[in-house]
Amino acid sequence: MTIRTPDLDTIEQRISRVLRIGVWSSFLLASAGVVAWFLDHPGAGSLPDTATEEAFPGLAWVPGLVRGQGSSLAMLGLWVLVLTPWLRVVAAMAFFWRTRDRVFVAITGLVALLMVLSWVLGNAQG
Amino acid sequence: MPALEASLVSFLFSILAGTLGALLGLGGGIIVVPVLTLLLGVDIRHAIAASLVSIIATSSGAAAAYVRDGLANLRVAFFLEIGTVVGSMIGASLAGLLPAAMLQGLFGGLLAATAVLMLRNRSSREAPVPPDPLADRLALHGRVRDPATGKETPYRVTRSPLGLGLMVLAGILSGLLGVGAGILKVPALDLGMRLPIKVSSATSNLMIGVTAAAGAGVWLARGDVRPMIAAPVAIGVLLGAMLGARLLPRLPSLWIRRVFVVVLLWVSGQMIWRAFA
Repeated sequence: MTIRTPDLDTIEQRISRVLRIGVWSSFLLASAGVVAWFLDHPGAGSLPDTATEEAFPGLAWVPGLVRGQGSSLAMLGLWVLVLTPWLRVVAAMAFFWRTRDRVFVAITGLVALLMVLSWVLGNAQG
Repeated sequence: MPALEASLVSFLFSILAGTLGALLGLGGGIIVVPVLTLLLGVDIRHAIAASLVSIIATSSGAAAAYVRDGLANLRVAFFLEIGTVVGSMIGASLAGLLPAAMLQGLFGGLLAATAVLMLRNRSSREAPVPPDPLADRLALHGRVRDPATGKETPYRVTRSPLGLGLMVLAGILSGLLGVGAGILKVPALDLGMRLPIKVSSATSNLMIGVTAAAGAGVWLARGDVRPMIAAPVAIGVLLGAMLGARLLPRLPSLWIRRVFVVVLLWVSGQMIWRAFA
């Protein structure tokens, strides 16, 4: 039997693990949120009207989490989903750093920097 | 439509979008947006925001398997993501400056030309791969394993500077039109850089998530990501993408290429139609 140490992990295994954790967390949170929303809204109205009236600009969904609101839970799941590609870029950068692959540390670092810039510029324009 | 039924409809179509997206390296927006707007009457802004979420869901849902199985080329993806993110920023800045109809027509024509090239290109794939010192320097070459036989076939990446340029173009399309632009990324990887079609699809899948995640900030900040629209889409697309990722290694490459060309022609036809309508 092979004893697995971090050094034996390939970058593929690491990135795949990050993606799986992100995907399953968001899947479970979003599913729980949708189910909770329908339990909170018996009769449930119609879509798009009833189901789209709840808007959460930025982090406005956070207080609803404490109150156990289904829509806030679904938003948490969607945020986890959106942040998953960010996490995989950071995880890859950390891996390349550890394996001293300087060129790919620079490439992944540049991708992360450009993503931050794109997010900031998008918000400034929006 | 009652909310429960509408959510079920969007969930079921999203499974289809996720499966097709995972197989072809696309985000699934070509299915999600028309279903939400035309069938369910959702506001276009909320539909595009849900489509952006669906791109990320397709990407991460399928890529978890593609990366684990070595089907997606990680080094190629990271290298080219520089181009896609730069392009999407350029596209977002140009969005208000250029007439939408002209852009739709231009990209529609470009996609139609790409479809013709993909149809004609089968015989030329046997030709020797031109040397690419940058691909050698960055160790971009890879190998793909056939799950049926377990046999690994090495492949060489070529024309990486051209690939980077084409990714800037794909990124501009993403930024301008709010789409994943896998429809341009797959041909750039397949025709331009000579990656096998399945590797092209899997690598495009991985890349579209980064472009969409970089552009998602503005939609989240404005509150256009409506949970009861986007969450059923995300759940369905994630399930579909995981299913598609299981199917891709088992399907013949020729089948993937043919279906991709059909979708390419369909999307280009839609764009040209909108340009003149």
